[in-house]
Amino acid sequence: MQCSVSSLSLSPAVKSRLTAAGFSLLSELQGLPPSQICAEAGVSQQEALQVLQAVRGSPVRIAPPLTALQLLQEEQQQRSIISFCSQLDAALGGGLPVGKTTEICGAPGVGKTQLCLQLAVDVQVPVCFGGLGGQAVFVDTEGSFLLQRVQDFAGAAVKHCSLLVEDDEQRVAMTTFNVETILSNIFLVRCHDYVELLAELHLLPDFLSEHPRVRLLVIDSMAFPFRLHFDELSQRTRLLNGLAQQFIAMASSHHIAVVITNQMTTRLRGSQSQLVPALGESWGHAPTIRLLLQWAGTQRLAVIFKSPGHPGSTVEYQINSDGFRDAVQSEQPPSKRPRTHTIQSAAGQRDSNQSAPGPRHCS
Amino acid sequence: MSTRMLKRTGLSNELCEQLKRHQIESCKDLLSLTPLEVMHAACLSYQQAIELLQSVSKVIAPPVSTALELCKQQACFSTSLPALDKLLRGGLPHGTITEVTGPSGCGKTQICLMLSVLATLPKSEGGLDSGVIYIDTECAFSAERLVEIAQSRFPDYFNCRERVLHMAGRVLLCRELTCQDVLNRLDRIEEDIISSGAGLIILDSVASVVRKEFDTTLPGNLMHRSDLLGHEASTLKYLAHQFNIPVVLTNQITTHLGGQGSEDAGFVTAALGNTWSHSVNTRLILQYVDSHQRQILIAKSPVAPFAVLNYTIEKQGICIDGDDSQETLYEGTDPGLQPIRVQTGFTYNLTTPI
Amino acid sequence: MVVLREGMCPGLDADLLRDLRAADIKTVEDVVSSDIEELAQRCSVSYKALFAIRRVLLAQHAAFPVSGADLYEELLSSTAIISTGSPSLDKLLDSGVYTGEITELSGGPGSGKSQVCFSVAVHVSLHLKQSVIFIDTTGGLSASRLLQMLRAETSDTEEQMEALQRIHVFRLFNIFSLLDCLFTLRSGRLQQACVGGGSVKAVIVDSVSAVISPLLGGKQNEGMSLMIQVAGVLKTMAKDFNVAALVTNHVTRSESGGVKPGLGVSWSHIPRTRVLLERREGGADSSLRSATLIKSSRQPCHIKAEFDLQSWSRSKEGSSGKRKLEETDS
Repeated sequence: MQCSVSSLSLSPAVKSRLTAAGFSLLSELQGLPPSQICAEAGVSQQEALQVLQAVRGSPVRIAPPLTALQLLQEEQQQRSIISFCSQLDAALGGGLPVGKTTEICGAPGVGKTQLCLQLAVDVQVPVCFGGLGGQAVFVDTEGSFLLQRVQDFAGAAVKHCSLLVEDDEQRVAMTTFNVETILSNIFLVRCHDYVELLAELHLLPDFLSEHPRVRLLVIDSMAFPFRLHFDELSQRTRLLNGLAQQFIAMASSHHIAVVITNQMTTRLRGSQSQLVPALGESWGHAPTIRLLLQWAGTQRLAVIFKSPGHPGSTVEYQINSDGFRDAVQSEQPPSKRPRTHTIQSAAGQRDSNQSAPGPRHCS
Repeated sequence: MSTRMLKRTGLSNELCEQLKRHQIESCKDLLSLTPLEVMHAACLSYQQAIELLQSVSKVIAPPVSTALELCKQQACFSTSLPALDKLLRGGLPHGTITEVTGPSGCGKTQICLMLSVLATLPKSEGGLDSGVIYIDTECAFSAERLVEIAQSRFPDYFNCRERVLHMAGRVLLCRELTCQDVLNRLDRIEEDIISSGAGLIILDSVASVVRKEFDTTLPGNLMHRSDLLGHEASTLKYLAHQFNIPVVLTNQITTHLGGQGSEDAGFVTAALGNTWSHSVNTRLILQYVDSHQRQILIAKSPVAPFAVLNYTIEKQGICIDGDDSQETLYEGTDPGLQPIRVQTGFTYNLTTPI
Repeated sequence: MVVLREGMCPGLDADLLRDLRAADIKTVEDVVSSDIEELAQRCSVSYKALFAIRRVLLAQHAAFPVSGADLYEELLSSTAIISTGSPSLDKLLDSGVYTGEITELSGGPGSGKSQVCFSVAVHVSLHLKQSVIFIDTTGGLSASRLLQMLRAETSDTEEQMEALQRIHVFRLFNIFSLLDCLFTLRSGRLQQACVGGGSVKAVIVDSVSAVISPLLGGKQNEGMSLMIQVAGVLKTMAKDFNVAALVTNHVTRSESGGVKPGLGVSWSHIPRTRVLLERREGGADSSLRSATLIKSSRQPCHIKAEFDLQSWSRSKEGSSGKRKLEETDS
């Protein structure tokens, strides 16, 4: 084989000794006993053994390729995570895709955490109702995971599903789909700084193997721990690029959807300032899909900025007591409009969701 | 947090020595490296480097729990204003940062004093029965006002002098006048929290020291200021979570200039910028309606809708007008760009911010 | 570097090998580059024997010179040009992506790099009826999007399925897996395995910067060497098997405030042709993109072209027709 020795994943010191001894291609090392490698290259016996294992192990490491047809069949069978906001789901082609990384960036208070909490509840909707019936892992770095909200969303989801029950299978599923079980299926980790976050991410593959029902990983947020003082920005960029690959590897091999939230930062371009996603230019390439949540006056818009499978589009949404929902048009009867103060102009009043009239929430 | 030394993580001595030669001594140093750098420093193969990172991670990583277990821990700090508590689903949530911002004279310090009194009350009266750490950067703390609020708001409880003194004794006042002092204080505050049994931390105010020392028109300062604020926010969040207590901060206002040469001259909004707006969990804005009437706006909250309440400042602190049953909502927007009404004569466009 | 072994050439026996080793001559390069007289004295071996050995080794290991005319003939007969599916982009690239060299597409997020890669893959598998190897390192490959593009080209389901079968996808997320995969492809094993759909005409790596950028910088140099390894194997694969190697790269901010392709100066010498893609003004919903040629050995640099991502979704009936493989016959 024409592989060169320097492409092996051995320690650099061992590789340099091998090349100094004259070995440059793997074919030269094949078939040699360890003692000869020790003698010629001056490495220890353990290292010689590692060298031989690396040489022999190479062809087996990669999985055989899939054809695009097989991939298509896989994709068609794979469900997405619905978000109960039908317009957003339609724009994303059915919901948040499993097996990919999605980034949600937005201004403060626009609803990133609310969407993540909504997804953590939605991923648990039983399979017979069209959901994934999976568990969720929520990595919280900001302290914004508040139980009351999760209970609201869980209650709304249970109510929504119980209205849809048609056959026995669904009835049986509803017995295990209640607020308590929903809460027990969300694994929560609180990280205080980026080192704890990195440590947790190193341990996640093993955790995911032990809990094969997990279908969603949420990191809320990635920006907060990484925006703190870093000695060199290049180190941060390297770490983030490495993390990006870890996320997509986890998403792909464990069949989970990885959702990461990001903040916005002000960038000065000449004399104008603009809000752009934080964490730098190269981080923009990391997620497969990028959703930008924005304020347009008092409206909330979700912009699909980057998605290899779907064209970019903009969708309006709202957040009410039940959670993340479609924005409702203002033809609703005036009796349902809550009383508002005239702090701002009363133009463009919006009503809450028809099923549960409640106040609209701000974040 | 993660300044744990590698020696105490169970790694072999020779490996620790090897890493020390490359200036890698704490877990933080090791985990900040990419696998390739670890391979280089520790002379390991790729697989071994990954295993090393995983074994160190096991020591550092926080424990995994479920949301159900959180039920037992999460609690709220009632503000003794029923309308506000109802909107906030119980009060100020423990383990999070609540910010109170507004123009000067609107009542931010009054709210802080009122919350300090409440925290020292026993649980039967609706308090936390704990101490308070009050970090004052503006020298606005007034002990007489504290006592006045206590005696006017809870006359039955504070009927004798011992109780008043006991209450005052539980409020630990720290006067810090520069940014570095504030940071130093926060870094060492854990011992104070434990020794005084503190159940509430108040920082009044975050903005004053920062704006005194950092002139953001100079190029490097914006980054330093953001770093500093980020450091403060993360320390406060850590303390809030670790001890499961609420943290209250106050902020000031600034003028946000209108973009692209529009007619309006700009509007007043909360200070410290967009990044700071991300860092706080709850934002309450105080603003003027007229010279006597004021309003509290809930501008950012994980649980509450955009709501507004009228209040006045009386002898006993803050008093909410109107009754609890009114639904008082408003069309909200980005909490970093929410316009705030100040007590000056000029009118300006309040409709839609940029 | 090739290690000296017994029996490599007549006259190289175990004793001579030992003497040479003692004089610190371990590889063929050492023999060839050292002074024979001095070596003969040091090892106490005859000058003639060493000279004969050196000649044989040179004959065995040196490269053969080839005349320019032969090279030209070979180039004409083996190079193919693959269309990208967009006429304006093709014009920018001097009619398309050439086989035998590395073409790089760089651009910010959402600028259309993956879409161009999909389009090339679809073109090769559908119109040229050849295989494509697609190495996906970012998870951006979506088979439904490929199907959508195929549907825009032809409405025959049978053809669509066949075309999909000719696209072979590898999902790799770190540098060592990528190197393994590329070396295995180059050694010919997997190419033979794809024989069902015809020979491979394109190898697409989307994106190469995702696996390489975590390696660069920091207190080590291994990353750079691994990057050059990847470049080397892609180039030789492109040349030896006459495939088009298409890679995508990210962008970073340059000093003047604009964008430049990532991975640094060392990488910039590797691709033969480099194109920078950008979003045009028009908001997030717009599908218009602009492409600038930043490095090319055939066209003047900095020429721009504009194209529309939507054109690969709309079905083409009638006029635009199918694009054919353009062979440059003499």
